[in-house]
Amino acid sequence: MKTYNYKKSRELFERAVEVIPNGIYVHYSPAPLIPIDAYPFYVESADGSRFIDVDGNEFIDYMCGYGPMVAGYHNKNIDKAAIEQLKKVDTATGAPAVMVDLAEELENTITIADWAFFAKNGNDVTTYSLMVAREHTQRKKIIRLKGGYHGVHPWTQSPDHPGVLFEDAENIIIGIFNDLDNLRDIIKKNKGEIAGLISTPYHHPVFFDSEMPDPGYWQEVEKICREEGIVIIVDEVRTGFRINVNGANETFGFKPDLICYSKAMANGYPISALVGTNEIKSSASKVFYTGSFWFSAMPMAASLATIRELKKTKGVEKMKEFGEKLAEGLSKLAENHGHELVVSGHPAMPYVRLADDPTMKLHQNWCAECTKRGAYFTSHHNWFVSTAHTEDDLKKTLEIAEDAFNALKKL
Amino acid sequence: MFDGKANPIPLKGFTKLGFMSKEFPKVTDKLEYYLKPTDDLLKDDKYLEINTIFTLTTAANALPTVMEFDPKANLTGHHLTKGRLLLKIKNGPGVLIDTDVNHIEVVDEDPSTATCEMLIKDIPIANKFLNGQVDIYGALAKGDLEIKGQTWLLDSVGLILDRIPIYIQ
Repeated sequence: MKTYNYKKSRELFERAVEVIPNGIYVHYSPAPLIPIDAYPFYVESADGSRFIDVDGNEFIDYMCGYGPMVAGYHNKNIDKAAIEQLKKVDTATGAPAVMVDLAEELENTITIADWAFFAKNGNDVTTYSLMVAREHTQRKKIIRLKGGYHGVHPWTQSPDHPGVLFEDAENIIIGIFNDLDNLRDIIKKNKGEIAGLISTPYHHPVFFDSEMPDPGYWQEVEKICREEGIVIIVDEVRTGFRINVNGANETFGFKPDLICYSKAMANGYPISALVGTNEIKSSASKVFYTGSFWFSAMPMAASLATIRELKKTKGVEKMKEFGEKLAEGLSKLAENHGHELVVSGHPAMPYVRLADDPTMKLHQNWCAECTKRGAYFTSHHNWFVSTAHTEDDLKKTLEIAEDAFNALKKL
Repeated sequence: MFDGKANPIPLKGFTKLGFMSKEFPKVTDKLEYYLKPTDDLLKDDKYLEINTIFTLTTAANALPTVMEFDPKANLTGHHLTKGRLLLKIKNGPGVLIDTDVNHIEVVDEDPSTATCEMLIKDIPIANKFLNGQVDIYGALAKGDLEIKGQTWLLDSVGLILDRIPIYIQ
């Protein structure tokens, strides 16, 4: 099978490092793509489940822009809604009417939502959720869980990271997912001081297997937090509209007070949302929080169309089914080649790892061999599937994976 | 100490420590020469090589002390996980570093046992890298640096390495 080269990507990157810190930064950075020469850096175009890089190589995209693409690149219905809105107005003096339509759609779709607040990125609303919880409880401290990702604002990072102060983490307590004793202990030591607990609905760290909540875990968390007056914040920036359109909490059987959304909610158009219950609405109203582009109408129209499209096409079920077939197919192939493939997390966001080599080198090489044959796999992060991934994509992916396993033997 | 303005050892009262008063200052002078490069000195290939090797070795061996006493590095130490990191110049010298929770040390073991590797293309790039003159992500993308394995170890050790220049400026 032919493998790709990335001459133009490299040339662009040489220019980029001169004028952009790191050339490409953080989650799009080439640094965790190992070995780096197997990966493209720059995209030229995208359609359906695939993208084409600047060198003309086509990839079946299993990262979906690290989550935002959920219903296919250039989805006709979503793009049409966005463009029609753009023709009318995007950012202007005054809030757009579509903002009300979108808030109502979220209120009707997400079980716990009585209201919605819009911003641009996931971190805009995770930070806002903390401010709302602090205002609501008149307490300072927040529990976040080890390995959980909530963005890049200083409170989300460890103070040993560049640019972050110990003071930034002063009121942040790090807990452990699925560890109720740890939660009880933290609460006991900080009695009456904890404003909120922020957590993803299931644990999906980078580099390590995803972890589903233990039976009864969330129900007990909910019970403890209700008793202690702690606001429950669920960060669905990565999982939102991929696990359950009504909220992943419905899948896991609990009711949070606030839920953060972004990534998939508008199929790639830039928008995020915090939704919450009526009990907490007046606190949300008091917090001063806004941004220059948070009233941009085009992403709101795209989001409205995305959510309707996902509901109409039973998108969540479709992604789950595709993810299960992908996991099964790859696992079988791995077994045939004498390898053990571990797939964890939700089928629509699988974290995949060849478990034979704990150093990860084998897994990194396999992902790289797949990528340079046209199935874009990262080795450090969970993958994403979309409603646009087809049976043809699956067939082609398995052919690529087979060839990549053969290539591993020659390395 | 490397400036020669202070005597590192309290000599008064000692009569049989000739090394400390004679050879030791010469060693420190030599170390100072090789560890305090000038732009002119770095134009000499041999000097560049020795400076690079000394810097790599000094930085690696400084890791436990920096982790113990620097508050940020100390916090990073709490997050370290068990592993073995190889920092190596391709076709050149390298150091092997063992890590675990609150533990970091240079070890003399078989480099092939490393669970994480950072390979540096050549001596000039290694020199720039060790002196903080390399955009690391850019260098990775250009192939000047190559990483593989449990790269989260490198993230942590990199945070501690980043603290070293603060104490030698």
